[in-house]
Amino acid sequence: MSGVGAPDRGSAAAAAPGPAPAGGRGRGPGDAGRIGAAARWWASRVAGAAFVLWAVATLTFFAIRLIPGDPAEAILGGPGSQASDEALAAVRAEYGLDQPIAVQYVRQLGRLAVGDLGTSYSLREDVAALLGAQLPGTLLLAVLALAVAWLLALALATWSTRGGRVSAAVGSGLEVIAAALPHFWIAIVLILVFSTGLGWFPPISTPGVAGLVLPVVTLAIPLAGFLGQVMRESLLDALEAPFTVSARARGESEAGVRQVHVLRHAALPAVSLSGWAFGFLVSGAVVVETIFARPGLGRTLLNAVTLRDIPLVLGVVLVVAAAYIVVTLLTDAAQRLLDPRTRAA
Amino acid sequence: MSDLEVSARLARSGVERRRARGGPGGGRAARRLPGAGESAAALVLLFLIASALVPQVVAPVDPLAISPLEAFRPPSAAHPFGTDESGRDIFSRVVHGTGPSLLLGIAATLIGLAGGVVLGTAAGMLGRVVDFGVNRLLEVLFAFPGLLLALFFIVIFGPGIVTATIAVGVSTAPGYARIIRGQLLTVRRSAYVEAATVLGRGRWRVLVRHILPNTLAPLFVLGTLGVGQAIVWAASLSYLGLGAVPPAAEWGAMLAAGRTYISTAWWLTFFPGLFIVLTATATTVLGRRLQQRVREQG
Amino acid sequence: MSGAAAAGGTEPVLRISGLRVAFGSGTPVVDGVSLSIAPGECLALVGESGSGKSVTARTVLGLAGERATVTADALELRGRSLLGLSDRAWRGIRGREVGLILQDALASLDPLRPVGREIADALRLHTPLPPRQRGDWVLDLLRSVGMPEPELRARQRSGELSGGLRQRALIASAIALDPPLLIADEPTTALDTTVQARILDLLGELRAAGTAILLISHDLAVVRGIADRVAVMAEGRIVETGSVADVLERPREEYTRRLVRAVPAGKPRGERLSADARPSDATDARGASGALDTPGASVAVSARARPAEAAASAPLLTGHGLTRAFRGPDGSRRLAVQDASFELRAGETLGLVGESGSGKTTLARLALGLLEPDTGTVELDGRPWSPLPERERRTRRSLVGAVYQDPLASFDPRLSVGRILADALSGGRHARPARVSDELVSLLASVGLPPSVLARRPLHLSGGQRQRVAIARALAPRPRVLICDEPVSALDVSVQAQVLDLLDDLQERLGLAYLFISHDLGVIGHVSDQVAVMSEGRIVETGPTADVLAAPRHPFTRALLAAAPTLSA
Repeated sequence: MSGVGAPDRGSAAAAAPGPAPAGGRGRGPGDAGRIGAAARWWASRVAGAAFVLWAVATLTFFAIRLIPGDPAEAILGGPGSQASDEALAAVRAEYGLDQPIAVQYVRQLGRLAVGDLGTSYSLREDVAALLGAQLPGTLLLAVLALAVAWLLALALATWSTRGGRVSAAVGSGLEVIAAALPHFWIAIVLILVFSTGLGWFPPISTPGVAGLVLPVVTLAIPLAGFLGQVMRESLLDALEAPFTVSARARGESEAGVRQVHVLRHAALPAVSLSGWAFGFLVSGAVVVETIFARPGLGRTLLNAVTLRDIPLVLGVVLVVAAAYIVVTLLTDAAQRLLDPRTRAA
Repeated sequence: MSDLEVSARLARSGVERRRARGGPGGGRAARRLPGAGESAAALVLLFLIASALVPQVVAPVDPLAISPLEAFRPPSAAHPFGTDESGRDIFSRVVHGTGPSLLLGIAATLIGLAGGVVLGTAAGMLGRVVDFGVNRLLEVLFAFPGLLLALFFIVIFGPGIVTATIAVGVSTAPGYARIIRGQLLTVRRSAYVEAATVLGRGRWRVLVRHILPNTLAPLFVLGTLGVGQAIVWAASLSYLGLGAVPPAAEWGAMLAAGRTYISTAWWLTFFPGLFIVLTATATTVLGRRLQQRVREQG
Repeated sequence: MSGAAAAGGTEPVLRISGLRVAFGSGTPVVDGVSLSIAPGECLALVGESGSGKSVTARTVLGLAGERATVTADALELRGRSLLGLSDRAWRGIRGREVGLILQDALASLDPLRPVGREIADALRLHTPLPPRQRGDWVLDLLRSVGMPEPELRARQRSGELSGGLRQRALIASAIALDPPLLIADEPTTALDTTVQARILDLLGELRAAGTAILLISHDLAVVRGIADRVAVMAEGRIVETGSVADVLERPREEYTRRLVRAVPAGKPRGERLSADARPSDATDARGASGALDTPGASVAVSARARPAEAAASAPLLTGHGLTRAFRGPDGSRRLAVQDASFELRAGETLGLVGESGSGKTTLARLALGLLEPDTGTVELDGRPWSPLPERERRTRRSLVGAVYQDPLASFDPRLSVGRILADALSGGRHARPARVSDELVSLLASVGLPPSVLARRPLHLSGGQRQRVAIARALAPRPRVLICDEPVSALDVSVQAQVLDLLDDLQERLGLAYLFISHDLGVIGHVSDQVAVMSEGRIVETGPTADVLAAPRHPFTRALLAAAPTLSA
């Protein structure tokens, strides 16, 4: 961003300590070298992702041993659960709690490796199967919310950078407020207006399209606030960048400049925020699914946390962490593909 | 990437563009008058601070006075925000809840900042091995996105106002840590630190005089941006029944209490929520303004 | 030069008369500019930053900006008035009638799109050609601008090309439709000298083929090489117009004279470039010497040590066989500096010249003891310097100062000028404020700054003032060696002249030794007693400046000399 349009006498010298231009060295090995570099990148990233996944499993394994008291009791819902001796014995046997901790740890990893997440205490069901059933609903919610947020953000960012000062101020004001809105409050307001007031949508998320509208909008608004700000910042940067000057000097129209050049630059940072957006949506899903009484991963997590259903909590945490790691990896790959500048680093 | 990093990045980029446009004289913009949004944010903050310090002046009605006959009154001249299930004045409760709520947000932010400072400075100062280790730790913590880390923390240590506050603090710490580490590395590699070395200044003196002040000054900005978000997160936890519990006149607790009456008495949750929104928005605007000052002075 | 083309009576391609451009309600940035360009003619618009030359150029494209109010008696392109054109009409002119080349090709080509697509855009906008034919045309264009391997390059993005190739691609996009007028706004400013020469050759070919070129430049030497006529611009007005030879050799106006005088290229060592009075003649001479004269100096003398004397004295700073490697992002080792040796004596300037990436800055950092060499040693004042722990070096740090290209970045952003200098003067201890304050004022006076800057922050100073503060800071510990890494590269030529004169005065007064690094052979030739030419990490040639410039031995030095633009015809 530095020195846009400034008489930058020293750029030649400023570049001096840096490495030679990328083209200089990339030329030798040619395409083979590039493929090699891509393979190396993927290998190191996948290894990194695997490490994080292992570390998450390890961290959670040891963290639940921080719970005061008997771990078997904790797994059965804490001291208040008044679990029977047989149940405790069964849990101890299942988790090998009578074994040395190293053995327990290795066994736990082994179980995770084959996708065995244990049995939910509160629901008495296989956690993996349970989550498998809950996942699609939450995924649908999150993807729709993401799409709506992108559209809202893009619309707002484009509109507010097009006109004069008023639309710019209104646009950025709306975005700041939207980003500060807690999900539960949006949900309350939307229910008040559109369910209680107008009666357009049900206050409880019934199956079908009508039941999806309010949860999706609730999730999308704050996300759109953040994405919109990021997009607008990069839109403004791109609109002032020298390459748009040369595009205009070539005879490109304002609309053409935006379509051909600027939008791509505006979308880039929003893409790079996908990992963050995923986390934001998952957190939001906990609140939204609870308020709209919609079955899904978020509500399952909240119930599990409230009931201290440790196997279920661990299951959700691991699934979400794994998904997050995959999303981040894909985001980075997408960015690498879209923006050759990130490849040099 | 955390919410915080997104906010911090947003606060930065606007200022930098303005500066790029202004060229060498860009510092002049520092003295520009605050806009309408900033003035409104300042008024909101003044009101909130007054509510926190002298709630009995802002809202003379006793927030704890129960009058069952007045229960569930919608907003009116007598009760601008209505009354709750026990007939208590919600406006008064919201105003009296400002202090505890802000305190919770500030406490959570301080916890997050403290964790971030410890991890971030360790990574930035203690050499490559520690940096590598801390970075891997942060990567792992980032794999518990958003509320997940806080929820996991609550599972282990049980629900309640104290754990919820700590949980929010802990879950924001990785974000702070990464920003602080980045800032530290930028400052350490800066030309002015090199210039101090060339002048023969010792490591310790460079650290105290240049590196720490330039790393820590942006923490005020981060903290300001973070308080609003911490309040939103803490309130979300309370709303879900994992944080502050009802008898307290704290916004999150009021939300949790009003939750059951959403369809019949919306004002029980709407107004505490509105105050949270106002706080979060005002701190964001103020944080950006601060960022601008820090950047444009420097 | 083809001045004949201008006088030949042909209709001018561009005719501007009484052009005024203002932004908002401010004073006009361009205030009554008149000029004209004939086909096949190159008119250079020369001026310092803020003179309004770029705004003038953009106005010809209708790109001065939404907030700009443009008025003119005439603004004609091939006889057609450009005043009050609709957006649509402007778009028909841009790219087809007028092409634009900007300074920084890296940023001026969309970094996310292949350069071939960028070039093809001009064809897409102005011709009904189908995409395939556009692609062929793009390849032809790339060939015509001398791009090697055009098929490969067309698929690459600007970030994947070297600076010179990038600039060629940008030129190709500007000349895609063979516009009769080409506006080149500082087209070679970001380029290395040898690359610059090739790009200028390319522009020369275009001019020879009949294209009229409006060249915007701050660099008189570049202008000398390519332009037919020059218009000197200052504060929105054209100060002087005429043929290149007339304006540069016999400037009529005082402003032009100062500008020409400020160009260091070809001026002998010690010749004044600026019109400034010597600070030593200024009011506060006593205070200045009080602050700066090296106490008990055995080598430092009040008059400059002539080269002969310098050669007799022992070297102050030497490097022996310095080598330093860095690990690249792909894990490969790259030798930034290889087997470099140098000697620097008191009162002497060693000029280090080379292109970007040649290892100059690494060598400076080795000399400053900021980097340890892999092999080789640096000695300071006859004692080891580089292979020491920093703790032992620290006590002698005051002997060596540094001045950087970007002074602003080298100041702690929180500190005022006064605190920066007080810290430098105090030697790291807390000094009595009153005493410091006197010293501060005289230190500032010695670099030609008034005491009023003490309270200000560097951010609010001009580029030249910042560099003066940086020099004052470097001088505060009374060093005997200054290492100047591109100290004037970011400055306008007249400010550059002042800073170079200041450095010369200080050297003469204090007997300082300079290791002066620059990519600009003109600057190096002016300031140096000895010169070392660096290429790809090696010092390929070294010797007395006059000898090296007059009879270069190494092919790289010869190429650099041949490429370096000069003011002499």
